[in-house]
Amino acid sequence: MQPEQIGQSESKTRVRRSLSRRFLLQLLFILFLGQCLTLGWSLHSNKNIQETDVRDKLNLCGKQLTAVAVVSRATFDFTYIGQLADEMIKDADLVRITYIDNGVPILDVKKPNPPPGQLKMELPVLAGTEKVGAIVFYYSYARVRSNIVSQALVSTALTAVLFLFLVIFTRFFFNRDIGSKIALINAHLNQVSSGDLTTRTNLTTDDELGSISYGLDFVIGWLSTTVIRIKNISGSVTDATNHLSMTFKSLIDGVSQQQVSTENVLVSVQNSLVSQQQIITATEDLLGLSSESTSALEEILSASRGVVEKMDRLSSHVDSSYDTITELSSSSSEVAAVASRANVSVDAADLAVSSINSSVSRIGAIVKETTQVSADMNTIIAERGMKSVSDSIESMLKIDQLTASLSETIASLGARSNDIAKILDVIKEVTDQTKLLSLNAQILSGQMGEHGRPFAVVAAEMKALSNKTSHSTTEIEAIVTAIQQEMTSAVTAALATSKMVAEGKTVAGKVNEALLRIREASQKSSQMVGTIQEVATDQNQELKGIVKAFDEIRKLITEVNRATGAENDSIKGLLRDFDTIREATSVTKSASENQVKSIQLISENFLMANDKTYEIATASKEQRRVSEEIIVAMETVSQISTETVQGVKDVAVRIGGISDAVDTLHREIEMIKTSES
Amino acid sequence: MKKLMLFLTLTMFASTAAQAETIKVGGSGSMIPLLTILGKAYVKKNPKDSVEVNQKSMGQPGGIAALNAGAVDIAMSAMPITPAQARLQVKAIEIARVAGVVGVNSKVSVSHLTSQQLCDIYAGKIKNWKQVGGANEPIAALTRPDSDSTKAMFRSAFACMADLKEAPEILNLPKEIDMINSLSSVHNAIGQINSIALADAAGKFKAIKIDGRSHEMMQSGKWPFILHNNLVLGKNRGEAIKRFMNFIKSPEGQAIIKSEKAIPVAFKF
Repeated sequence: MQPEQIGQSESKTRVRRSLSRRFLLQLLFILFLGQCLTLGWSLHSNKNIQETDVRDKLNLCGKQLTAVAVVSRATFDFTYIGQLADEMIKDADLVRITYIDNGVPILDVKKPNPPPGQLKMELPVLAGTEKVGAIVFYYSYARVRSNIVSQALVSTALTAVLFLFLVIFTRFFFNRDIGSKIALINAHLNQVSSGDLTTRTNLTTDDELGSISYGLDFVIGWLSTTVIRIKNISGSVTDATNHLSMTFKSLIDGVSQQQVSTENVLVSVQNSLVSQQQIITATEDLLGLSSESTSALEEILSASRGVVEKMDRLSSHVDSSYDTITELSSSSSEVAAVASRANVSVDAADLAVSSINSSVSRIGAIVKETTQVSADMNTIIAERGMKSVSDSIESMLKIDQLTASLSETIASLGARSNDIAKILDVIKEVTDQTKLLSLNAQILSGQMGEHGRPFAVVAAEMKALSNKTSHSTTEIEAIVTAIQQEMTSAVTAALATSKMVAEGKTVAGKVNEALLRIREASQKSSQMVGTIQEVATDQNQELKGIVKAFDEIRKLITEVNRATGAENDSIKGLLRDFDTIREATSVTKSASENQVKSIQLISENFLMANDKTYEIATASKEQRRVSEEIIVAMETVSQISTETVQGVKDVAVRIGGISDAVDTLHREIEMIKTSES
Repeated sequence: MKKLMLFLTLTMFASTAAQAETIKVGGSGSMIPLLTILGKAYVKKNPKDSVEVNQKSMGQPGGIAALNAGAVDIAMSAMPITPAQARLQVKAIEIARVAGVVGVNSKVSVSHLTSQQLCDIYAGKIKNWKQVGGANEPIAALTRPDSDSTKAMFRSAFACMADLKEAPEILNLPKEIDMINSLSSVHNAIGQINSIALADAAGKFKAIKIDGRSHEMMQSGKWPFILHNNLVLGKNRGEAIKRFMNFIKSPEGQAIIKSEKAIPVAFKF
């Protein structure tokens, strides 16, 4: 490329780069376009005006010619019209003039070398109202066009000259007032662009460029300060990026470890899944056991209710026996009274022989009555008292057996409760592990950002289930603890019951022995009464032996009194024993009722435990499903972790690139010249 | 006035003749003198006929128009009729050729010009006689309408005049008599005229040579400025017309033409 061409290229580049020059050129170009438009419109308008003028002029000339023609044709002297036409044809616009009068061509004046594009104007020559000829003008707008072209050329030339002056003056004033200042600012900007921030324009004119210059100086100063700060910051950024690179390397290691941890967690979750399966199986077994326990409790409850019922019956029997014994005591008292009255009668017999028969009869009746009473007492003792005692003993045995079975069942339940506690410990441990996993999952999801959001939802659900399971486990634990306490209370109550039953059995044995003795005494009494009856009967039959008999009777009465006293003593002792039995029965009944309540409470607690266990089973199944989702999520996490590792590596590479770029930036910023450098 | 008196006399003479026929003639002013003389001679020889030559120039077109309108019997045309005129059932008969003359006032000292100088004068380029070797006087150039026969022949005689655009200051005179009077009275005047008018001018204006040639050389064919005197016959081609035309054709008529500095042209009728 030639130097001249290089110079032109640089000039074009300078103009292209200079906004003000470009703006000026554009403004001049717009002015030029406006001038051209104005000129074009002016020429067009002028052309129309001139063409109209030509037509008007020719019309006027034509009228003159027609007037002359009218005069000339009267004398056939067309010399004047010829002269006039000669003058008219000198007009630049006219090309040819013809006058034909009644078909005779009079005039045919034309210019040599007529221009193309001729127009025609015909004016009639009238004789009165009759058209006798016509003057025809052939004309053209060549002059008009020539004028317009000339005007256009002149105007263009003038416009060009005007523009030249405008450009020169504009360039002069622009360079003087704006261009030089802009060049100064531009030079300083170039210095700033080359990295020298120490330069200042120091242009203090009171105009926009002065303001711009002031602003530029301010910006350069501010930029210099900023660059100094950036220099410092870039060093820090370099360190930070290096540190970030190290951190990313650590992060890659951490993410890799996290991936391994994730895989371990996956294995743990799979193990957790197995544990949950075991929990499900255990809870199902527990549900089975609970069902069995519930059945057993129901049986216990039924038995306890039977015990209560039996205890009611026993109490009733005891009360009945007590009443019998009371009646027996009464009978015994009556026997004693009868014996006393017999003794009185015997005494009276001594006093009144006459009344012996009646007395003996009455004695016989009394003896018969006594016999009947003794028989009744024997019957009562033998049938009711003994049977009641036997039933009590039998019930005591059954209670003892049931209490033993209950104790055994409760012990078994205690063992199962311990198993439940152990299972709860396992569940608790799994729940804690799940909580830990969910926490890890939340951390991972947080690190994964947008990709970990679904996993965060699963982790949150897992955590919620873990909390729910933990809560349920805690409740079950409380329930199991309550069950164990209730069982302990039940065992204690059962032991107390067993003790009471044993005491009852002892008392019943004593009662039985007392009854046996009563029966024996009663039988003896009955036998004695029988003997008395027999004696009385014999007395009736044998009056002679009355005194002896009476002595015998007194002895017998004394014996009866003694026996009756012994009987009363026995009955009193029996009453005391029955009081003990009634008390024991009452305690046993109360204990049985408490036991029933406890068993009902245990049963209710078992039902609650069953519900909770069912919830645990449901939660475990849900947890299993969640664990399966966790496995899927963990696999996704593992995959994402792999992608994250890859992404982190890419980021590390990019950060390495950034670090290089920051180094480059730092070096480039160091190249910028500031007041500190 | 003298010609007018002659016309009136001829008319009176003709009107007194038995079975007199009147031949009305009008048209180009340059032919009026010749036709007047011929008319007189004819009437003298044919006293029963009369020839009325309109002494007022109508111009060649006016003569044709009058002929077409029946106002005249014979139109005078100092040039060949135009093709358009030829389509009017007219017949042009050239009877004589008259030399056109570039005349100047007698006081103009210039005696010859080149044709280019002549054209430059009429173009307004040469405005002073000094420019062409004369006195330091402005040139008063005179011309005739382009429709005039003399002007038409003048343009066709010199090549540079054919398409010349005359300068505005050139004075255009409608009638030949105006040209004769102007050449006679206006100093420094120059204009187109014919040899018959020159002969009648009695030295008031003179002819100049063009390109070294004078109008006197017409017979030898070296003078280009020639007026072709035609008589244009219209519908009326009666005996009187024939007699008149035969008279012109006769030696007497031919002699009259020659006596008027014209060259007779043989024609058939």
